[in-house]
Amino acid sequence: MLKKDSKKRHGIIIVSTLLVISFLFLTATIKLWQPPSLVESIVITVVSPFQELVSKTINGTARIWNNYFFLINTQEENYQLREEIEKLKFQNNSLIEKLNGFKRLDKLYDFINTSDMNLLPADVVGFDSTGWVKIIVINKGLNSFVKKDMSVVTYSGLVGRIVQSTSKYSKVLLITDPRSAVDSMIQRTRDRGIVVGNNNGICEMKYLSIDSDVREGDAVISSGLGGIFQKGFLIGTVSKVYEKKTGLFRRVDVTPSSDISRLEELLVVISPFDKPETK
Amino acid sequence: MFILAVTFLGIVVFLLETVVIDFFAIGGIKPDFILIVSIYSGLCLNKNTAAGIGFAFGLIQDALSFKFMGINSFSKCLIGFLVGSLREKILSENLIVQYLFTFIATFLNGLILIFTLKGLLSMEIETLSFFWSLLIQGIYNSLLAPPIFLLLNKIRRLYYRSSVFNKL
Repeated sequence: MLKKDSKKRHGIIIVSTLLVISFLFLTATIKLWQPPSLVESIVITVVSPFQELVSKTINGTARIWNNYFFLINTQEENYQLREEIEKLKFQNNSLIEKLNGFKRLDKLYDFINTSDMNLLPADVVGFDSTGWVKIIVINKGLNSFVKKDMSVVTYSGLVGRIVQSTSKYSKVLLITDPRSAVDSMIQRTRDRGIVVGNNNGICEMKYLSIDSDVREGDAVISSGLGGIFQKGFLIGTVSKVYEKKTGLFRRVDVTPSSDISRLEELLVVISPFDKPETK
Repeated sequence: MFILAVTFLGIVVFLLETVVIDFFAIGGIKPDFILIVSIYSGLCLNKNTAAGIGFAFGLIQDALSFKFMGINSFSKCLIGFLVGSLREKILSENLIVQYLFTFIATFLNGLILIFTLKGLLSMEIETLSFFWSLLIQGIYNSLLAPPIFLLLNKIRRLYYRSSVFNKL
């Protein structure tokens, strides 16, 4: 009986210790706004290569399978075609996939060539595991001159900013995360506001003057203020304007121009002082 | 051997959570496999071991996120321990108990999360929208949990019959 009690107490002490450790981590997280802790760096370094491997395998297989499936469907009329042609189709699908990849990269490189910024291409290797925040992991880190607070874009617009970097991988806080705030302006009217994420896949523009003549469809761009995002990055378009007769500000919904839920390749805007090899 | 098995399970679950998770998303709401594994640990293992697994997996989940250090390790550790403690009093093989445990655990996890995000980190989150998402996630997790439990049970019986797991 005494032994059972002692075992029970021992268990409670272990669990209490684990809970206290968690709470200490949490307190440190709230108090210190700092680069990744040792635990985070170790976990990213260990887990991210697996993520990269699985991510690439799954994406590659899915694309080839989808293309194959698509071709099979479109050619149902020619069902009696010989086996050799099927083999050729499969080979063709692999080539289509490669072509699609080249097309996407072509668009990215067009953007790089027409832009006067230092842009570094990167691949998405993982998503946030909690589902409550909007974070992605990319396969470029300090070794490629990727540092905290660098902007991340696609050829269609702003995606987010780097919040943590390890030697080979970095975390990107997406503009749809509630903790993201981008000083921005309506391109047509030049009215300024702050674009914040709302965790539902869209953003919200706050602190926009009540007198603003904002309309649905207006483009929203970064204003360049705040010191992180350069001026002129397309953030998205106004999808809803909330009518407000009182108060100082009006609120609008902004749909990001980049397809945030389907990110695969990204560009990191490198500071002009840190020149990577790509450009 | 037990640590190896848990590490392997951890790798699989984390790859599911961070790479394949978007395939499981319904209206942007994703299931929480780490939570389901923590509940399973509570239902099948010693409550202290379950708390330890919940803590370790939660800590890795926090590390892969941003500014979340401590939140998931706290909630998953607590959930593993509570489910393990309750399991001793309730018949855990019952399907309704499994649904209920998962649903309540999802809500508890969500409550800890929103308390931390809103109360401690001062994040602006629409409470109503959050609870709506939590409700859907609770249902989603509850539906996924029994087949995952079944799968984990089969794996456990296959490889660790009357050895490692049963002693814990």
